[in-house]
Amino acid sequence: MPRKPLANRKTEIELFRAMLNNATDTRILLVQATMGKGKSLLIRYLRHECPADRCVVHLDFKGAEIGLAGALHEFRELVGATRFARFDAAYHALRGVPNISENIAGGTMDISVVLNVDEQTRKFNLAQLNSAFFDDLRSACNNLVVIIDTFEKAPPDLQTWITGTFLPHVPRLSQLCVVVAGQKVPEATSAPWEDICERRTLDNINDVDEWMEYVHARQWKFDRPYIHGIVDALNGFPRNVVMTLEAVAPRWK
Amino acid sequence: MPDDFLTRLRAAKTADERDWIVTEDLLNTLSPDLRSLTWAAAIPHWFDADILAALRPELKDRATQLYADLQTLPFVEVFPERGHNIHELTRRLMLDHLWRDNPDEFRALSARAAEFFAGTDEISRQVESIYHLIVAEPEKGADAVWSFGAVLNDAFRFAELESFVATLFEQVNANRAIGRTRALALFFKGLSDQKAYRMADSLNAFERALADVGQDQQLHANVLQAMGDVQQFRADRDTALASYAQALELFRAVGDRLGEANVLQAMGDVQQFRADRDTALASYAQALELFRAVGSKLGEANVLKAMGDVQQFRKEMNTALASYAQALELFRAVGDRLGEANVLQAMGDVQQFRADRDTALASYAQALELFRAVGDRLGEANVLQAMGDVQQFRKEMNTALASYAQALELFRAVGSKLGEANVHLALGDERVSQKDFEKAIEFYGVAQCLYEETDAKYNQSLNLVRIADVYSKQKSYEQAITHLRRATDISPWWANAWNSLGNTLESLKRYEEAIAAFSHAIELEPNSAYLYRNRASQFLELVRLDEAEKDIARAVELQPDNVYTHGRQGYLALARGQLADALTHIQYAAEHDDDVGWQLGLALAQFANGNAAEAQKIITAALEKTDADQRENAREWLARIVKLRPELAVDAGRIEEMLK
Repeated sequence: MPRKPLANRKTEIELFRAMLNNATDTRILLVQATMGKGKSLLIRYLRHECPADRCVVHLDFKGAEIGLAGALHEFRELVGATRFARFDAAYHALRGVPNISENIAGGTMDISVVLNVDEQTRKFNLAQLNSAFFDDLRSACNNLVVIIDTFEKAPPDLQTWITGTFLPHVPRLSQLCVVVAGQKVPEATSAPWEDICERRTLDNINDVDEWMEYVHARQWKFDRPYIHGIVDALNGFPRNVVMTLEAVAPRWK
Repeated sequence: MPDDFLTRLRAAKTADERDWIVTEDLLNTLSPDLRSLTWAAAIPHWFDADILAALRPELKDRATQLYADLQTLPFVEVFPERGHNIHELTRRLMLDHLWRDNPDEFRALSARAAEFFAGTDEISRQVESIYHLIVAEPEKGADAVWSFGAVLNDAFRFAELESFVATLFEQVNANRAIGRTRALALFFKGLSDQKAYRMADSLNAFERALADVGQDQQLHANVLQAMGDVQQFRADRDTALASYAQALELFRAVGDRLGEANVLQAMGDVQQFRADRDTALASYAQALELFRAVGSKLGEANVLKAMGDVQQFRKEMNTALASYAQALELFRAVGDRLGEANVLQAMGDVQQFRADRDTALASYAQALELFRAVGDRLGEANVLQAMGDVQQFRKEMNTALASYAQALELFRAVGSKLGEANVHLALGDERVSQKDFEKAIEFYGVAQCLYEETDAKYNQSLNLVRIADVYSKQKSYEQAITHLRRATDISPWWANAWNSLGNTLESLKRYEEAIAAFSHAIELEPNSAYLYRNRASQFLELVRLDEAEKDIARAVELQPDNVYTHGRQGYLALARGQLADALTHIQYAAEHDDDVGWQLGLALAQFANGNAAEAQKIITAALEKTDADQRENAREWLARIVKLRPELAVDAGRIEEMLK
């Protein structure tokens, strides 16, 4: 899919490039923005910034029902199932109990079977899966990039796992870059990964020059005074500026 | 036109108004077909060409092309693996306007969406279908919410339940789902919050649900029952019982006997927590009858297990075993292996209490196998610990230690600090049995820290009493008293802690303080004979014989044949110079119990009755096993006898020499 032009967000893009090139200590980028600030567009832009030789896991929790089991499954599929031998072994060991064997269909992996159990058992099962998961990740992943979008829509158990389990492992997983974006993002203060994390909040774009760059990239013919008027009237709210320009462009003389 | 647009924008008073002007302006630039399809595309959370064709059947033939056109619009974005969606803010604005301006169109589109997404096992599509159905056909939608929510809840699919609730709340918050549907959404939100231990949120959701239940008594009853569960969890037991009572009445009114049985069982649980065991058993009995009437074997089994637990608490061990046996049969019949394991464990506990240790170990072994088979690590750990306890009783120390080690590993794996603490307490007990007091204190210390972390009050006190016992064994009575005072501060309702405190104070001859401690225990347990006997000992030491007599008389009422009751009767008689009676009672104690203390008592009674030679013979045989405290106590009683019978002074001198 072609990359859509993006108004501004240069500092976030530069930081991400530096992360990819190991030119910064930052390994976790948190992108927080309210609706309409162009967050998802930026995330897709960052996704396209990743070179072809990087393994990219892009998880969008827009489909909120994904849950922790679904996220682990997606992760495994995107990185490559063959790299998760320990995880698979742990899953099969947990799944092998006779009571739940009827839930295995056609050899597919349904991680929810071992997580949708009573609380204590779930805790134990999750500890087993986590241990195997991060062992596999440590040995399998060089140059891995994990991009998580719409964090706020993830169910609480998945949010807890990302904040309390996944991110704390990042400092110990070499060459892993992580971006977490959402209307809400994990709290970094006092977290064990605070030192390798940068948080950026996307705001309105009131700089007319930035919008003129965008206009040129879209090959539109708007003049500067008009853009100035629009940006001013819309207080630089990216969603409204872009939609307005899209609406007016065909009629612009 | 741009100027007019800017004028309207500047006139807008709110962000929403501005956002809508922008949205509408863009929508007006679209061709009629694309515009019509865009409105339809806003209905579902995601769309592709097939979904669009279903929503706008009149555009079915052009759906693929129009879908491609839609993708070029700035407010359309990729929905991973499902197609595309309209950006959240734009979608919200469009839905609000459509609902306000053309609700019939909204409902018609929702009905088509509900139908399109129905008829599949895929959870995301089922949720999507119900999300539309509650708007298109509220009553049918509410029924679907009820059954699907129950399925997710019963299958422990709490993440999915949470998402389902969040999805429903989009309609609730936009006032497109009201009345019974809103009550149901709130009911499942409450359940979902409860599962995540957000108890205040949970109660709030249930309270809001009550405002919307209307005439649906069934739902009303379920909400009240769920509220009772949360209140019970928060130890707000009076309120819980009141909620259950209301739920019970409603279940009865609608003739839902299963609901009635479930509530009665829950009431029994609360009553059991409040140690109101007669009432608990009565509630369980009613629940049992109802479960039997509706043919719910699982309900029946659960209640029988709960009844067994109450009976075990009441030390009615035979009755408890009978209840457990029935429960076991039923759990087996319905194939509930976890239930079976729990009952076997409980049976093992009763058998262990009855010192039937082989049978207890056999029950535990069966339970262990079942816990392993169903993957219940916590159950496995608990049974291993119980097995360790039995093995320790049987003096199979190495086996016991191996069981404890396995239990400890499992408790740590599942993060059960309480379990971990219990094992450390058991390890401390094992060290005490080996007279390794230093190591025992170390284990108890670890247990204490863990208990404090879990805020388990009773266990903290239990452990403190254990520590105090060790200090008492080492004659460090002051340290023992410090720990016992902490135990009674933490669990002032626990008679045994007060009793231990009394015993330790007695060792320091602080009889008045000991009397106060025993009196406190008696207030808590007025029907425990041992407490009266222990207080009587203090009165005997202080020569307050009338008070001693009163306590001993109460002990005789409660436990006439007990060895210690006879012992106290003997010493009271000795103190009063009723020497033949003294000999009879102490002889009874000595014949029925091998504690060397009774041998000294018997020697004293023989001596008081003029049998000095017999007394010396008994003392010679027993002397080796006595400790300094016992000998000192015997010398004091010897002095009391000489006061009663001065003519025995010479012989008493010889015996006193022996007792030094």
